[in-house]
Formats: sequence, structure tokens, C-alpha cells
Amino acid sequence: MDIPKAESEKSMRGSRQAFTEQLEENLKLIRTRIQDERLRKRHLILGTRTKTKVSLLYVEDLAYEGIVKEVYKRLDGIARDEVLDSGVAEQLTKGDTRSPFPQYQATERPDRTAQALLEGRVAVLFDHSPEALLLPVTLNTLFQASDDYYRHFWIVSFLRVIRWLAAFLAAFLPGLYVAATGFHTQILPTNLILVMAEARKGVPFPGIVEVLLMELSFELIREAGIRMPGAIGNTIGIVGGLIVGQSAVSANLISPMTVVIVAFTALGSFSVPNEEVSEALRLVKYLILVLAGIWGIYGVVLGGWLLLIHLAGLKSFEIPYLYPFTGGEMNQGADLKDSLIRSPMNRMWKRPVFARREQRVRMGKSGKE
Amino acid sequence: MFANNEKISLRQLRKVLILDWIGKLFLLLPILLQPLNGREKMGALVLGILAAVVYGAVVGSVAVKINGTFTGYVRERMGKLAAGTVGILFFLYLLLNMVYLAQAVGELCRVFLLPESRPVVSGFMYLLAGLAAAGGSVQKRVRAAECLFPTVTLLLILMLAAASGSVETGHFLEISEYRPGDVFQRSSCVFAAFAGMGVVLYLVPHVNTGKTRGMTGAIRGAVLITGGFLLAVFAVMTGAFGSTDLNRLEWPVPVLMSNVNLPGEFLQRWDVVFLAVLLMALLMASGTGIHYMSRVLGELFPKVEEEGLKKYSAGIAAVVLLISGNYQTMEKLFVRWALCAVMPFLAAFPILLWVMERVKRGWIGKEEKESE
Repeated sequence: MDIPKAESEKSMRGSRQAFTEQLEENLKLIRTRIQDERLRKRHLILGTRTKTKVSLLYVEDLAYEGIVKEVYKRLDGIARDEVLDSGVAEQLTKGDTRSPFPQYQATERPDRTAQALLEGRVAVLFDHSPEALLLPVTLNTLFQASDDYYRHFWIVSFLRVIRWLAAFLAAFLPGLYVAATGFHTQILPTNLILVMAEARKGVPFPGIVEVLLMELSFELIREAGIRMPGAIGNTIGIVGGLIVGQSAVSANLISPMTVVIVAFTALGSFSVPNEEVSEALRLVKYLILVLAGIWGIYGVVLGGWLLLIHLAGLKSFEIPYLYPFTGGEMNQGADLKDSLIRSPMNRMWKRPVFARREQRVRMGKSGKE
Repeated sequence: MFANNEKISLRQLRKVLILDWIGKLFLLLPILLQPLNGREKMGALVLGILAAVVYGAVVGSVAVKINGTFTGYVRERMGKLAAGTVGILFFLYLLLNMVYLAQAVGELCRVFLLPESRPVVSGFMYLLAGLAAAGGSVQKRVRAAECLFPTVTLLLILMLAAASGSVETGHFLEISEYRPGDVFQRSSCVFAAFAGMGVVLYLVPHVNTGKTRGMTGAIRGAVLITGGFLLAVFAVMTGAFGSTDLNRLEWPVPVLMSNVNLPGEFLQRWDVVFLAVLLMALLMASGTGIHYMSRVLGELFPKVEEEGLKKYSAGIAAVVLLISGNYQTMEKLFVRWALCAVMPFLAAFPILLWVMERVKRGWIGKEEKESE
């Protein structure tokens, strides 16, 4: 079996394997990791023309029966003649179809899928799709990387704080920059204001237009880099970034400070471990940018508030999207130990809230609790 | 698993109440306590907070007796007219409260953040944000409050600690006068500012049943935590400005934050950061306000759809915002009508219900004794 290496979910430690495009091989990859007779699979055929084979995996005594039935029902309810990829099924079955935030966790890693199954979650695999869909999902799980459990808890906790900070930067930094430079210059230290004023000398556009132009150029470069073949794509990214940025600064179209802000925003966006969350934050960034351009910091606060309210309204199979930051007292607060900060492994003796209540305790070596 | 029953826990209720009060009281209480000196302000605050704790116990014990809706309960005990009257009074109070907050946000934006903006536009945006929060389930807003709570409280504590650096102990020693009569009178204003808590009785169907008995604890906790913040803010403000200067300031709390100096000079002025935090708490209050308004209307007009009532409530608040003039006018209106005219009746109502329950329980006790 020719198993590819993980490309979009690389890790420092642990397995390098990724799913293939063959369902049977993917099932084997999971079976080799969970050698438990309670690992169950249910099959479906989706699309009257495509006849795509779908497998629903769960560990019988860990996963809630209600969730398994609901997932099966939603998948079975897809009335479409073509379902070519897991992405199609995901969009057709997610709870809030208007939300840009992912309500399924797509992963290319078999070890990640096995980990999720052992937490009581359900995995859905599609034939010809090198990804598994994991559910239920919370925003917290989307900020966890698979090697978070293979490394020391201090390092992982530090990295998780960095990831959340990166997400904040990805969504808010351009808006905060526009608010601070356009409306509230008095909050910045005098030296910084002078540096910024010097850098903006001769730039013909207001701050908001400048940032929007640069952000949109960056989106173009990113899109071009993805669509071009491997080596050319990388070159486009570097050359485009360097040449466009440098030329725009030289032509006094944008200030060097804006390039720094857009670069930090992009870095923040790339540091979010889940690509779909990162994409949703890219959209949020524009909303906040526009609001900041109109109302300064008040606009940023309004944007942040709308984002919070939107996320608070999302649910994945009755589990709040913001769990365990809300309702964290459930499961005796065990899930908070695996959120912004990760506790030492020997203290994480409980499974997350996804698992059945009677099976929440991870058993010891002897098989006793 | 999580139950999809639209119920909120008492812990969540406490957080909602704190966020609901903290922003409003930071802005309102300095105005209400303006005639007093620093020492008297602290006295009035302590008395007002204690009265609010006692009143919270009364509201909590009335909540235990409610099976179903508050309006249904009042109708059963006191008749249809009383239920309608109390509903209208609560709606009037909530409307004035909502418009006051919208005007306060508009004025704060004009004074500290957006000098060229029109306050009514900022106020209108505030109402829209509130409508966005009030839409959908109660749990949505409560979850947002739960996430916001640690951020807001932690940042407020940090900023208060930083502001305490500008305290001069001499300001505390210069105060000698103490007028018990004035202190007592102003403590009633502090109590009135908290007494809108009676509206939680409309939330009873949404609070986890079986645990409603603990509502007293949730309210008490909320009053004490908010009160703790208020005492700390007033102590720091008195120490930083002195009594005389404090009474001259229109917005002492944001001004206090503009004096914060942190090592490293990362930012020159911190009041913008503080206002961002305060605005988050105020936005929470707008969502809660519109939800309460729609609940009260919903109990008065049960046939109208709840989502529609939320839009009507926000619409009515927007119209009143447009015709209410400026912040100064609205502030006077709110203090005169909401706190002085409507609030005494509203505050007395749960007390009256509580007395009725006690009397009824006494009678039942007697009957039981007689039958024995």
C-alpha cells in the first residue's frame, strides 16, 4: 500500500502518514491503530449517479448512539445524484449553512482520526476523498494539532496560546491598525506616531484603502500560488510578495507599515492549524476592517461582538461551538484542561464531553479505572 | 450530552447580571452620587449594595414560587389588571434603560473615540448590535456572556490595579465631613440602580428548574461582585482625583483610565482600551435589554411571535432614541422617570408578592395545625 505523507497537517512528532484516495485502504489505516472489536462501521452509498461509498466509523461503547444515528440520518438524507467529495456532503449536512466557520473537522491524518474515535467522536470517510470528517466539533478542537499530545505540555500550552493569538491577529490586526492610525492616534506612543507619519508621507490613499488594496493583492498572490503547479506556485508567492510589496512602497502607493501589518496578518492566518477556520477568519478580517474604517475602535468592538454572538449561536450536534469556554463546568471541567492550556498527560484522565458519560474515564494499564 | 432545553444555569445567570450592570453602573453611579464627598460616596455605595443583596433575596424567593410565567403568576395572585400594569411598568423601565444606554454609548463615542461622529448614529448601531445578540435562543447570548465575562473582569481588574498607581493618600485624609441623611438618601439611588433586577422574574421559565431555589445565591453573587468592582473604582477615583475634582468630572471612570501609566510606554493612553472593554459589557447589556423587553411584551401579547417582538422592541427603542434629544436630556429623563418614578413601584412589587406568599404560607400553616 502506497501511503502518502501528510501535506496540510504536518507535525513535528508522531506519524507522517496521510489518508489515500481509496476508502478500503483508509479503513485499514484506522483499523491498524484501533484494534478493538468495538470499532464499528456503517456503510452508505451516496449519489444516484456517482454511487460514492461512504463509511461511518465509531467506537460502539464510546460514541453516543444519538449522534451516530443523527449523522447517519443526515448523510442518508442527501438527495442529490452526485456526491463526489466529502466537502459536498459536509455543506449539505451542516447545521448552520450560512456560517463560514467549519462545523465538521476535516483531517488527512489517520492518527488524528483514531484519536477522535477514541474520544467518542464519529468519523466519516468517503471513497476517492483523502480526508475524514470528524464530528461533533468545537472551535477548541479546531485549534488542536495532532502532535499536541505527543509533546511536553508546557511547549504545547505555549503553542496553543500562540495559535489563539495568531487567530486574533488574523482577524483583528488590520482593523486595529486602521482604527489606531485613522481615529485614535493619541493612544500610540509619540515616537511610534512620528515613525508612522514619516512612513505614510506622500501616500495618496486613506489608511483603510491602503490596507484593503494590500490585503486584496495578497489574496491574489495567494490564490495564484495555490493554482499554479508546485514549484511555480512557490515562486509566485515569493516573487509576487517581494516585487509587488517593494514596488508599491517605492511608488508611494502604500506605506512600509502597511506591508508589515499585512505580513503579520498573513502569518497569523497561516499559524491557525485548521485551514477552514483560517479562511473564515480571512472573511471576518474584511468585515472588521470596514467597520474600523467607519467607526474606529467602536467598529472593531462591534465587529468582535458580532463574531462572538455568531460563534455563540453555533452548535455541532447540540454541543456549543464555544465549548469548553462556555459550559466548561460540564464533565467536571476536564475539557478545560485540554483547551487554551494543556494539562500534563497524567492529569488528563477523562475523555472529552463527546464520549458517553459512563465511559468518560480512560482506563489504566490493568484495565481498571 | 448537552440538553437542548433553552435553559440557563444559575452560574450563567450570575454572569449575565454582572455584565448587565457593570457597564451601566460605571457610567451612572458617579452622576447619582455627585453631591457627596468621597467618604460619603463609599457609605452610600455600601448601604445601597446591602439593600440590593436583601432585595435580591426577596426576588429569589418569589422566583421559587413561579410555575410557568411571571405574568401568569401575578394574574393568579393579584388579577389581570395588576399583571398588565406591572408588565407595562417593566417595559417602560426597560425602554428608558435601553435608550439611556444607547445615548450613553453615543456620547462616550463622541467624547472619547469619535469626536466628529453624531452620537445618535453610534447609539443606533448599539441598538442594532443588541438586536443581533437578542435574536435566536437565550442560550446564545448567555454563552457569549460566559466567554466575555473572564475577559472583561480580568481586564477591568488589571486596569484598576494600574490606575491605583495614581492614587494620592492625601486625598483620603482631606475628607472629614459626613452627612448621614444625604448618604442614606443617595444610597436609595444606588439601590434603585440595582433594583431593575426584578426583571429576572420574567426569565424564570428559562432558568434551570429544580435549581431555581438558588436564584437568590446567583443574584447575591452578582450584586456583591459588581458592588466590589464599584467600591474599588470609587476608592481609586477618590484617591486619584480628590473629592472636589471627582465631582466636577462628567465621565470620571474613563478619565481615570486615561491617567493610567504602564511601564514600557507601549501605549500612551489606555482609556481607549478601557472603553473597548466597557463597550463590550454595554453591548451585552443591550442584547439582554432587548430580550427582556420582548419577554415582557411576549407575556402581555402571547399570540405575537417572539422574534417579531424583539424587532418591535428594538424599533421602539430606536424611535425613542431619535426623539430623546441628547445624552444630557436622556440622563435626566432616565433618573427622573425610570429610577425615581417607575422604579419604586417595580421594586415594591416583588416585596408585595413576597409578603403575600408569607401570609398565605402562615394561613396554610394555621389550617394544618387546626386540622391536626
